[in-house]
Amino acid sequence: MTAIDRPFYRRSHWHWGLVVPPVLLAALLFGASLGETNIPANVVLQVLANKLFDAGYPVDRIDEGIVWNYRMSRAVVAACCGAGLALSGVILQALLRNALADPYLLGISAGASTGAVAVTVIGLGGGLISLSLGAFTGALMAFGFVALLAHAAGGGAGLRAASVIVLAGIAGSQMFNAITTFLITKSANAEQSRAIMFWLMGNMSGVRWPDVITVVPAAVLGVGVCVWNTRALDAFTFGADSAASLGVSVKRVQLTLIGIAALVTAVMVSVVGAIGFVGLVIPHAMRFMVGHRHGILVPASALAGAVFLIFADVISRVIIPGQVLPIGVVTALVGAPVFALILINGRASG
Amino acid sequence: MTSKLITLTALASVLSVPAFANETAYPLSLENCGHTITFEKAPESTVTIGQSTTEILYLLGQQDKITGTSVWFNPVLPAFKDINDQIERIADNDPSFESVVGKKPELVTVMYEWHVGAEGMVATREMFHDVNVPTYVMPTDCAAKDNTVGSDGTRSELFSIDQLYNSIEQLAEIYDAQDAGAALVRDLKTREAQAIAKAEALNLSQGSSALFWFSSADMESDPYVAGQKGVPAYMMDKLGIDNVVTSGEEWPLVGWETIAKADPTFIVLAKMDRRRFPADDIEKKRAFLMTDPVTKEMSAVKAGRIITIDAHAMSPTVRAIYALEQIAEELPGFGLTQ
Amino acid sequence: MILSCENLGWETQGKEIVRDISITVNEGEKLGLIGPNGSGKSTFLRMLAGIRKPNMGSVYLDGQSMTQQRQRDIAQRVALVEQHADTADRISVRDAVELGRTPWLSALRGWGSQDDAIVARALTDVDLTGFNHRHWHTLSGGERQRVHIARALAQQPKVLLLDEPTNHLDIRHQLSILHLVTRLPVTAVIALHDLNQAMLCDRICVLQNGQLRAVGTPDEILTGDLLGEVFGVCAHFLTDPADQSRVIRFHTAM
Repeated sequence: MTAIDRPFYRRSHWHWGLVVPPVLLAALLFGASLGETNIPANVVLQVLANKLFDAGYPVDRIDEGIVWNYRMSRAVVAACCGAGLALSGVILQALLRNALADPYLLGISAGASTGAVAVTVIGLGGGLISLSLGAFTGALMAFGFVALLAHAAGGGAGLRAASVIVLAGIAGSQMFNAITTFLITKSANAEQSRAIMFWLMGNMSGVRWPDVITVVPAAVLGVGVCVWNTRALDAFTFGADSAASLGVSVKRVQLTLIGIAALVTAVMVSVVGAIGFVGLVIPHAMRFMVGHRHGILVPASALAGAVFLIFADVISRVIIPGQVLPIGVVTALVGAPVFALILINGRASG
Repeated sequence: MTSKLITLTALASVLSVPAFANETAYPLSLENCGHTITFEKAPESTVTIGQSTTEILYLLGQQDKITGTSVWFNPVLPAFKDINDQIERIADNDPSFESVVGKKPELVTVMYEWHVGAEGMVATREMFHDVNVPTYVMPTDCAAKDNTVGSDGTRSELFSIDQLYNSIEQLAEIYDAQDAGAALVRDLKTREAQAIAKAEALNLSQGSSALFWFSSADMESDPYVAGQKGVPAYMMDKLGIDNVVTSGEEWPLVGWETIAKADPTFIVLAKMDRRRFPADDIEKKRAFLMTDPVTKEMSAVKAGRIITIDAHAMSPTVRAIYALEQIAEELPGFGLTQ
Repeated sequence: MILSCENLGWETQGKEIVRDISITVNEGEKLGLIGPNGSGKSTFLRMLAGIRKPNMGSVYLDGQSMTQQRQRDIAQRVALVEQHADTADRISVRDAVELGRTPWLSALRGWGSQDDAIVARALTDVDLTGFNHRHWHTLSGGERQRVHIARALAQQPKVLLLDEPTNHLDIRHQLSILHLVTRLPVTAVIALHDLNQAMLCDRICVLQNGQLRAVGTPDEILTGDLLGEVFGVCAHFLTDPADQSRVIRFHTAM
């Protein structure tokens, strides 16, 4: 049981430096190699060599564009979103002491859909605001609403504060979902709502290099903050009061970590839509595999989230030839059985 | 069974084109998308749900029988602008059930079953029939088409333009305007045949292919393109062109990667007034094709083989024939002749 | 004067839970905290631990007001063992005890061999050597309580605050926990329900309706009059023939 053999990891986080880069690179290469169409592996490698090292291989321009501008940028964004969503899940599950907490608990996906609908259906912003910006604004507004509600409901620290946040999140989500439904019923037709629902299920198809510039800082922020706070997250094992007695500034940690989880999630949702399952299940799956201590759980979840979403994106593009499935469908369809397997194995061995 | 019946009816009415004025004999009974509808006389007032039926009624000269219109995709055909301005537009999109019934129409004509059908956004047909308002759904949306499968419904066979002619003739019969109907169908058929002949004369090389791009939810995301069995597929079939899209859905999402690798000979873009997505704008569609690192390398884009047609022509409307004509006219300019 | 408080008060929704408590805990002493249910013992302990910020008055740690000290600095000197602190996480005994090192570690000050030694020592102190790899959810109530105490000890505190540490334990474990706590080389404040157990403390303070009713040695405090007034019971004092210690017996009737 690696979860128990503490000395193996405790003194050394450095070995993650050896594990993460090669696995991540392999996953990115996998993402660049597979897609809707068949591009031979040597062409893929030649394109990457051209782009990264100016190797100057003669390759078809369309192949080059597909591998570099479509697949590679999408794989990088998938990796960042996977890591960001998984870590947001880790943070919320740890701080709220709630196994069902996921990044969308804070009203973020509901707010994002309201923002997206406001832009596309109502035409808010007169075509100057993109779907993404609308979704991002909506997500932050919803989170702001949930935070205000949680603050107004008070509760100080401890279990009560956690349940107040969960309840505020549910209330906020319900309210923003209602606004979305209202807007759709009032002004949209079936075709519009369908397009938005598809987008909300998660959609990586529109991703290009400029999106990489948006999501990489968010993912780096998420990873950095989590790594910096692994011990604080551990300290919540026995609840918020216990964390406080261990010297953790509970309010400050809850505020900054939940705020950053919300921000990271909002950025990801605005770029790729509300991809479900990753933020909820990856942290649980990793707990079964590497244990509950955040020193190992944080890097493991980030890596697993990144790799999982790269694979899910590839599967969404190849499973039906000539057509693309929403990636959220794939994460749930692939993720649920995998999770069930882990649950069953976990019970058998633990 | 239903579709067979409808085809038979269509065939019958085509065969019985008379040389003299033909009056409808009432009561008139019709099989219509699984319902039997009966008319004691020509409807005096009508609410239309769907631009296609609205424009067909204008073409049949029945504008004074229309008390309200709804579900508009693009501006009305220029010839009918003045007429259309006189008629109340109940809603740009879906009208509510009561706003339609409130007009006390003697008939509601419908373009799509997703407005009035088993899961209709406006109502089911039964709801209208319960308040003694008959409904007529264009067979273009139910013959050989299952609207419970796929997001825009799925056709079991290639769209047949005969269903459009059938719709026109049935509406002409209902409104006792069979001469106008016959004339309209005759005109459309002539134009269709001329367009096809023009395309055949080009002697396009085997494997010439096309892509019909309607719009995209986000500028760079997978586009909504025409599938294998819809109206654009009918156009490609008639012009002897392959569709690079293989899906049987009406408007599937297909990745640009797949499209670029399939490299269509030419690309047809939908022009619309709708501004819901950035890609609704025809200029944005063009700009994307020219600047995206992959699409700008496609041979159709490099050679400028891009045709713009009315978005509503990609649906079962008379405009489909106009667009067929337009494509046949623009094709020679591409220098594709063998 | 290691830990003290002045005019300490806390209220919530207009109800005063703790009112105007002033007391000084002497270095090295074991101070018992007794009082009926709802007398404010847990709230008082939490304020002493710096977890709950008082509405009125101040807690002083090493002569300095706690409000001016960082949570982390407080946790290096004061540890709290709560009632009912539980977790659904699948962690081992060792994991739980290692949490006690949290106030001493940071992203820059990593785990070291001295931390291993301190954790091992804490486990030995509570008689849990060999429990390293046991999972939390396989432990009995007494074992869990001892793990909590070990975690508190791993904080290397000067002051240990325990909230009813013997609650829900069988008698053998009650005695062993109490014995363990009284023999630890730290200052301790222990909230207790069992008044016979309170007699083991150096001093006892009595809370009633959130106020400090009395403080003094067990002999001064545990009198029939006081127990009658505070707890509403009739107490008789017997002598245990085994060791001549005093034993209290209670009756409901006054």
